[in-house]
Amino acid sequence: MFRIDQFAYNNSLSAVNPVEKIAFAVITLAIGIAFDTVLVPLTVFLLMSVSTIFLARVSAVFYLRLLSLPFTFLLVSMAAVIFNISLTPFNYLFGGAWGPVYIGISAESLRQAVQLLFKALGAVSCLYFLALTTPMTEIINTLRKLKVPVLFLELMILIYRFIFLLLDTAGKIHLSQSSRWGYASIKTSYRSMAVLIANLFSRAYWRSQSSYQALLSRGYSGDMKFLGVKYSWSYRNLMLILIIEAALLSLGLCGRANI
Amino acid sequence: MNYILQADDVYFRYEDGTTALQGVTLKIEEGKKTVLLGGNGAGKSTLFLHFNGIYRPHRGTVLFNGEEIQYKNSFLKHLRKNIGVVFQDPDTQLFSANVYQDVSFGPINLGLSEEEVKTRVIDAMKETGVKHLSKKPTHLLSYGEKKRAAIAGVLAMKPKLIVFDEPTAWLDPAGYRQIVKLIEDINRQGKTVVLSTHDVDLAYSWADLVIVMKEGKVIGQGTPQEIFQNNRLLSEASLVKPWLLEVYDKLVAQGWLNRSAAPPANKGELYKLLGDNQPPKP
Repeated sequence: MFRIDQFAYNNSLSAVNPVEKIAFAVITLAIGIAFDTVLVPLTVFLLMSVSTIFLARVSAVFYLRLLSLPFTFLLVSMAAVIFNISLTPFNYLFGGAWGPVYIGISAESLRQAVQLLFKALGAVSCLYFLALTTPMTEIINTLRKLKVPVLFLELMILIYRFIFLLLDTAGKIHLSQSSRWGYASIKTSYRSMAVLIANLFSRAYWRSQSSYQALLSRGYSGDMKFLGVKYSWSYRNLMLILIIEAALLSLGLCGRANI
Repeated sequence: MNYILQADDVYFRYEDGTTALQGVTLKIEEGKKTVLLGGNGAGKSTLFLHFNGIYRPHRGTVLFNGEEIQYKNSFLKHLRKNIGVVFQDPDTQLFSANVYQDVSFGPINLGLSEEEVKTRVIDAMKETGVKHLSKKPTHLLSYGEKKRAAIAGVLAMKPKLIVFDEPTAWLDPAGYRQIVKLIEDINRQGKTVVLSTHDVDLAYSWADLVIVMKEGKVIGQGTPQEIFQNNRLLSEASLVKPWLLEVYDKLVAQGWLNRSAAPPANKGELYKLLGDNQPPKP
């Protein structure tokens, strides 16, 4: 969490207009999931990974570790797609009858699972590109320009800020518990964890009270406004994005007949 | 004398029934440095939140520039523009994602033009020495940096009076000196400064006026010399003597110094009494 944030503020694409980065990530994401092929999401995945590692200069080791996070979920959902369960026999590659139930892997389900894998990877790489190159504040500023309701934006600002405060507080409680053997055995671990959670909520509540007082002290009157940093547009980048998206789109349209 | 803030017989009780203030009466002179001393739970922080109208006294009144505070939005807006509060824990105060945005929050709320806000934000960041951190997310700052960013956010609103709630707590010696110097600079620009602290040495050599609180009451106020020579008051408030006074008293008791008209106000004056005319190294 902290590292993602550090990269977001500190990468080689920091100075690039956030709207360009968001457009690049979102349009590529849309194209990546629009086509039922393997080729397009695979290209998206490679494109985004290369952009993140070589253009934004995010550590490759860290990027791979991030990619490994959704893999568990991905494998579970792939398993659910691969195996077909049916009461009537179907055309399977492997499998057989188990009582009245037929379980097996069909060519169709295998194709779907592989597609799912690449689509998910492509989509994740787009979101990682965005998360690792664009600070949350800039994403919120862009959403503001897109006229997203203020309520959502303020919630995003506060959640973003308080996630770190909550993590920090939880970390401190955990540290103080561990220092006193709070996690020495499974039994004490459960107890300590329960105390930690209960405490975290009461502290969060107390803290939200004083934060509100601080907001009022600084003239808060129901609308959270900040000064955004001004970025200039780069026509070169815009053209580049246009060309890449057009290429991806044609790749998808041409490949539809084949794979 | 112009009193920028006055509290007149202020009583306050929290919702859970805890009595926090029991008839506080005090006056803060414009342009001066006032220090509030008192143990934890003496009611200092609660009193501070009365100064800018966050809390409303159950009895008694708070006056700003001689005018009684009215608890309606237009008046409160005017009040909070003029009275800035720097909270003890900067994490409660900083809530935006980066320093630049956080500092801009107050001035934007004042309804200033974007250009004006920008100038104020940059000036405030320069003054507090956080300019180079402007794009850094607030959660990646060190404690001292957070503290200075929080002060910048208040300075950018250009208040007439700034209240600092224990500004030197948890700071390392370098951070301590930085903050004290910053507060001194702020005062030199003509802003009134009120701060609470447990640091008697700071209160003694720095304050114009010292107010001592205990259990929600003011039990003494006066110049630092008056307060810290009043042994009965010090023991009632569980305060210790500043080291300067303690050494001075010892020197007098041992016969090495003649009791002068007024005890030395700072290190330099003590050294002078000892016959050293060199100004002390800071």
